[in-house]
Amino acid sequence: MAAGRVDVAELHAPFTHQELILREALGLAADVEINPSGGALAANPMMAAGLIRIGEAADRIASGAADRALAHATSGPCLQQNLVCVLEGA
Amino acid sequence: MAERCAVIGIGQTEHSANRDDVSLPGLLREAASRALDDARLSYADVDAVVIGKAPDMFEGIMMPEIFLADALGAAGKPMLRVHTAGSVGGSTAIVAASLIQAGVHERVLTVAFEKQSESNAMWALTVAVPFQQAVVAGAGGYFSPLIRAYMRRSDAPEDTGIRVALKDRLNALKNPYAHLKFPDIDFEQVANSPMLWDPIRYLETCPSSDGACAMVLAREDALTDTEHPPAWVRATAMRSEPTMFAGRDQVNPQAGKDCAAELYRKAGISNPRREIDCAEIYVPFSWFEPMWMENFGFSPEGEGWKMTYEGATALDGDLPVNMSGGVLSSNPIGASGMLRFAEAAMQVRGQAGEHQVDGARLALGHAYGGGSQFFASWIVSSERS
Repeated sequence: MAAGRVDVAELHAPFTHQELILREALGLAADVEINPSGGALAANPMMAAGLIRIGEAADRIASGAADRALAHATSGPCLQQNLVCVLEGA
Repeated sequence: MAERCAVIGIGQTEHSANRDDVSLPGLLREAASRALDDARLSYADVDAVVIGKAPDMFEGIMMPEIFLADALGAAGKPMLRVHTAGSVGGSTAIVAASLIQAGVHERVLTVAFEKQSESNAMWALTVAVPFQQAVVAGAGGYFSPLIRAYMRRSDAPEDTGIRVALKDRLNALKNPYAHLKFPDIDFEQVANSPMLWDPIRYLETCPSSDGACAMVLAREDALTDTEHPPAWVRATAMRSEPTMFAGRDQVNPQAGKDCAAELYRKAGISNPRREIDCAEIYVPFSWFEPMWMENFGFSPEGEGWKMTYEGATALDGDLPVNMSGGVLSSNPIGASGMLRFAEAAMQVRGQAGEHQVDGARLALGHAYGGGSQFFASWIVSSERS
């Protein structure tokens, strides 16, 4: 994140408190749009929920809605495993 | 160009029916610590951990990678879990090797395991899954008709399987880690053991084991000053196919033939029987030795049994197979594939002890899983190439 801001972040947070923890841990600014897709609270096909975050972030870039987007995937009730990727338009 | 990958540390547990002296994390740590000791490294020197095991139902612990992370020194590091049924130990090693070859990491610890005493694998394999063929009565019930089909096709002598089992059980006596050891084993004992799933007798069958295997893989510029030289990963290959489809040859699956073809092409091998010094292959039921000899191109179709019969696959034959005693002697399912890959590496590193093949420099490790549908294989060499 040190390299610059993101417009959108898709966070894999099946429980609301996890979104708060992740916002802080990832240093997301207050104006970053979080989970425009509705996130895992809106649809949670378990093992696919993380991949969907990456797909949703990519879709925002493809549609022109964002230049730079962050996607996050996790496993475990205590956010034990975490994957973060940043996607950019051409 | 891909980075070169070498095996610089190998460790395994003592395998037995019930390792109730250790917890599941303790079992993995026993193998991982031995591999790190062999590599002269500590957990802190590893960049990432790749683990593999068979279905979670085999212990009844869902997603065990989460609670195993700490015991394997993976806290704060990338950790990946691989799952391809019985071939998983092999494919786990291949995923770990690919992280080195792709230049992502310098050193990767890879571990595979099963603690079968925690649950009941035969029950776990008998659960009816909607829209899928039920395996019913475990792996033996599934594979015995395929062996019958092989016997009919090849006209192999009825005692071929007994000879394979006797050979592997004699080899196991030379392996300090093997689960099953029968010091006075002979042909008659195997032949007279109870028939479980005709034509598979009790002593032609793999055991249910607790055990783990681990390897440390390193990039060429991250080698350590180890007692044994590195085993260079010359080639890896994986192939998959569905369990059922019209016209599928389950005795000699296309996925296995394709896996072997890619492996030999990548390794620059044109005559595997002559060029490869020894092979450690996944033989959970005795008859799969001749079946996989044919599938992996070591013999013409229908003639794999002759290799067993003529003693070619014995420890002193021209292509020793399953020097460690194989899956027939130790079967911690998830680890069984990695044990094959590790044995191949031990051979070319010259660290196989009493079951060492003199002068082995090119060795094949093989694993298969599911309904003979997942194949993983690698060729390791004492030479960097």
